[in-house]
Amino acid sequence: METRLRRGDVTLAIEIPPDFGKDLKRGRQPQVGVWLDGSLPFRAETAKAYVLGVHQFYLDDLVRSQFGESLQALPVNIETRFRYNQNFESVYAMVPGSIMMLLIWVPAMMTAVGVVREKEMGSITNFYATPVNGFEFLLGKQFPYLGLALVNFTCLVLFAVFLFQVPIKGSFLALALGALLYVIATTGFGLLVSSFVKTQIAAVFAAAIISVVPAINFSGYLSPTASLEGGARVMSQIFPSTHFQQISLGTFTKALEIGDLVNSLLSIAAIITVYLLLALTLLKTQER
Amino acid sequence: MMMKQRIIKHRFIKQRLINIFQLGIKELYSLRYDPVMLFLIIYSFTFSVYMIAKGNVTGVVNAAVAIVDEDRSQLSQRINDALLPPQFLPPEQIGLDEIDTAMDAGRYTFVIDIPPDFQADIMAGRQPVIQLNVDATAMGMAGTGAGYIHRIIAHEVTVFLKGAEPKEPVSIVTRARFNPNLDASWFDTVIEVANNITLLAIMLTGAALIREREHGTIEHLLVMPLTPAEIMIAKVWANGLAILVAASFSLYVVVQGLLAIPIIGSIPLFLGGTVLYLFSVTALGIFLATLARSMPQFGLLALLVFIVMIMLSGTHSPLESMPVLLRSIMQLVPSTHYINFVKAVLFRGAGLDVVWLDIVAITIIGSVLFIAALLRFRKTVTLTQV
Repeated sequence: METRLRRGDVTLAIEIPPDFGKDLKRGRQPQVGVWLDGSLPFRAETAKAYVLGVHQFYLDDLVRSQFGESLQALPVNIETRFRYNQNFESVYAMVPGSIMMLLIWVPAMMTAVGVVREKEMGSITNFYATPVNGFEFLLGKQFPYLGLALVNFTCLVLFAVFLFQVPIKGSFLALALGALLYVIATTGFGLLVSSFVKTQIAAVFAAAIISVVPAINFSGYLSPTASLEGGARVMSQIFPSTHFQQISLGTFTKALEIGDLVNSLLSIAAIITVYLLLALTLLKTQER
Repeated sequence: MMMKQRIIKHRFIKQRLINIFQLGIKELYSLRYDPVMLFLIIYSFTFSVYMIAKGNVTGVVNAAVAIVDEDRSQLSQRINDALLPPQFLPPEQIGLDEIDTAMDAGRYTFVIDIPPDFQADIMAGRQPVIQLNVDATAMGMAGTGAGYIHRIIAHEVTVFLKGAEPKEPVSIVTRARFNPNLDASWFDTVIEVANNITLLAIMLTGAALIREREHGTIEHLLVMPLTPAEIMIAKVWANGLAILVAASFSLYVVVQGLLAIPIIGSIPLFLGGTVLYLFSVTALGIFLATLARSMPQFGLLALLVFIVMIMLSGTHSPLESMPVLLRSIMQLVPSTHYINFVKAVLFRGAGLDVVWLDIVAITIIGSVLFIAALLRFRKTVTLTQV
């Protein structure tokens, strides 16, 4: 058993002790051991839940066969309602989440590299010589990528609805408005990254490494933000992904209206302001 | 005559090795003069790994629960007290009318509604109904967590009625090997190190090549007596070494030291496998760089390849639950074998006898990628769009 667990070809091993049947009949409460491969905790956790479920089912069955239908196994009825997603199908959670992730990675990286490219190639000095000020330069750089990101968004929504059959149950207006703000924020994040890196490699890498973790791990995509603690909680709040995840999941799956999402929309707007101001300050200090 | 030829050949090989060594040193220098890049490498192997360990939640940990207690009895209080950390955050009391807004905003993953006269009904054997609302969009937590809450409520009610622990005809004991408390942060942290190795290997090597093309310095190298293979091998070893150093530091200092995560396997074996993996992923990086014409193109291409690699190679969901076709395709991707190797070596303490197949697979895929990259490199080196 040990070797096979080590090889990873069994996830779960059930150990039934000697004299199990005899002990069971005599009411000596025999013990069944279950060994789980803990190297993949979430899989072990699921396996454990299933084992306990099967065990409970077996016990109920045993009691019923011994005492007949008259004995009720449980004195309470627990009625579980899986809200928003009755059949518990992951596509309804994955698709809105994927839109959230793609709309940060692609626009942020494109914008960051777009600006840093001019730095690395030296063409940015042309701008210093013109009467274009920093703010105009940044917005001018952001604008085309913003347009591109909105095209992306449209494609993604069409994919979601027609290819993956995930309908928008809530307000489309809220989703569209949220997406507009979100891509302003993510391209703004790209600008911010571009203002402190010098090379394109660093820009690509910074945009990826800084945004991948908060977008996958701390946005509510893998696990609910309500369960995050400490630094992760703070990071999830100051990053636009968390708020857009609320909007995307809310409008697609939770059937929310614009009124339910005002907080998320305002949070993204606040983040945009901070990103742009920071990017502008950093750009100015570099000019000198 | 034969002798002389052999000496010339010998010198030639020596010269090639010196070339590869010096080109690699040049590569390391260019890395040194990019402080932001260095900072990012350090960030990804220290801070980012640390954050994952401390902040990431997979499985049922810190689940946010609210209770609508319409009964306010001793029994409802017991249920409230039985929802314990680390699985559950302390339950919050909310009103019946707050359920919808709170769940819409994602404040709670589970809301338990205990009806009025619950305790009295239990005592009278009237089988009252408790409602458990689950936010089913929290895929990782909803199913398993609902199961836990079910069992906790059933247990509390039974104990309350009988005044003692229920006697079961068969008891069941579950033990988890390799990670007794099923602490997900062990897994997530080490996988984060592996993912960073993949991301950096693709990006650093590929981007280094694109940069030389964009700046035109690759032409300088090509007019020198150097072969494309030498240029490539230099990039592979230099960037691979930088990543290997960062990854070892991360594993010894951050994972084992700072986070005190026990690693039962052999770290030298892990690093040995990582060297081969780095060879194969840096070759992939160069291959992608030969497909892209500019840095933005490369960035996007590399990111998309990276995301698919980490999502589907057995980190976020086990490989055996994927469709057969996808599983077969993923066998061609080096990260699938690498993640398998990492799990076996670091968590299950497996030796070479168990993981040799993965190592062979990584090496073969790496060689194919390297040859493919070399062929494309020769062809495309001059086609640059500036």
